[in-house]
Amino acid sequence: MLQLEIVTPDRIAFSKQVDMVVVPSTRGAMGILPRHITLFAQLVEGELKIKIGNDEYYLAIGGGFIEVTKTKVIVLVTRAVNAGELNEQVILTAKAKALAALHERPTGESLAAAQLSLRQTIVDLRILNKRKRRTH
Amino acid sequence: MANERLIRGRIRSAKNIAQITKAMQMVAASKMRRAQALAISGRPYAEKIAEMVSEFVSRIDAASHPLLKKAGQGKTLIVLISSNKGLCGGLNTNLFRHLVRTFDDNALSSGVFASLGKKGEQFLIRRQLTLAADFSQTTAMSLSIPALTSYITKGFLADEFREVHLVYNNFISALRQEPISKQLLPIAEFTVQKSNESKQTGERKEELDFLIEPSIEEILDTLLFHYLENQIRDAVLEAEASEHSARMLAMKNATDNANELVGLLTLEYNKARQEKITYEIADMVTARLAVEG
Repeated sequence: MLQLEIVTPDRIAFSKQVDMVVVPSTRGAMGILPRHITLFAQLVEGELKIKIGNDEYYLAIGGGFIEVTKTKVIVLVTRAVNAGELNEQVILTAKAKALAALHERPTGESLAAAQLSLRQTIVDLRILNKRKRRTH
Repeated sequence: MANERLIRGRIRSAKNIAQITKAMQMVAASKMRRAQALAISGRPYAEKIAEMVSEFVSRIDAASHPLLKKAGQGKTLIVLISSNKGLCGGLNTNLFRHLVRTFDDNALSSGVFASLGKKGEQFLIRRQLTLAADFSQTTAMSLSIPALTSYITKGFLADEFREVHLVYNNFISALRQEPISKQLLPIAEFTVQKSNESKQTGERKEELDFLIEPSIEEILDTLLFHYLENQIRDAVLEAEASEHSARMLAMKNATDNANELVGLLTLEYNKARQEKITYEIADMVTARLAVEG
């Protein structure tokens, strides 16, 4: 077991003993098991998978960092929401908005913002769908 | 009598003032609760990221990133975070007094300033200090954080600023706010200090088996930028929470004073009314006595 803590600017999103955690790093997904080497890595927005026993939980996260020490794993990200907190309608409108914004060929900061929100909505949708599949 | 009507008018206006200040107090209270929750919930994140940075920086060579360089040339930048609106008691005055006390005249006149909050901007202009940039246009102060962060980092990297200080009101409780100043850049100075401390206590961790992905340079770049932004955000949130709680308190005092005034005026009004009645009765009695006599 390893102690996992997920901290965002507005709350501590998760703090529990887990068996395994899979995070999206800049070089692809990275799985952390107990007794992992101490590590410091950068994370990109994507899905974070937590395994406790046979249960799997998914969280949509924004960009950030992960620090693995001998005693615990700290994930610092700009946002972290679990599937229960996501609302499909809201995400779809956000996605449509992002697509519309991208359609106008923005530049500079607004381009980056639109791309970011598009990537985020895609991740959110993927996590929602995973949850749906399991409940059906 | 004219006196009565005059007092009635004053009572009415005092009541109106009490009503308005009461409403402002309520608004400030609800805003304070939100700002306070934000400021407090942001703390674990800010602490963790500061911890990460100091731990990380102590393990690597300080020369590997430009943001870690020691103080170079340039001027001292002081970022003054005040409020956009007044009516918040002595909050801004205390902040400005703290600013003038912390930095001596020489530092004040040779340094450059950036302001977040219109009150601070006005103060700097009045004191004829060098105001390099003002970020107070946006209504929610947190919206100007990214712009402020990039302004600071760019200026620091271009050797325009030697040191960067934040001056703001730290939120302690709803009743207490304390103006403080915090050094933001250069990072190297205080983190080096920290690692020396841990060396002395023998707590320094082994440096070897520490995996860094993707690479030190890439990660430092985002981490440090993120750290700076977070520090600034923390300061802004603290300042906002302080502003609202100070305003709430000021407005509560104003309401209390207005209500007290209403009480005093009512007493005076009743006295004046009673006086008039007594006069009238005395008048009638003398008139009757005169007729009877």
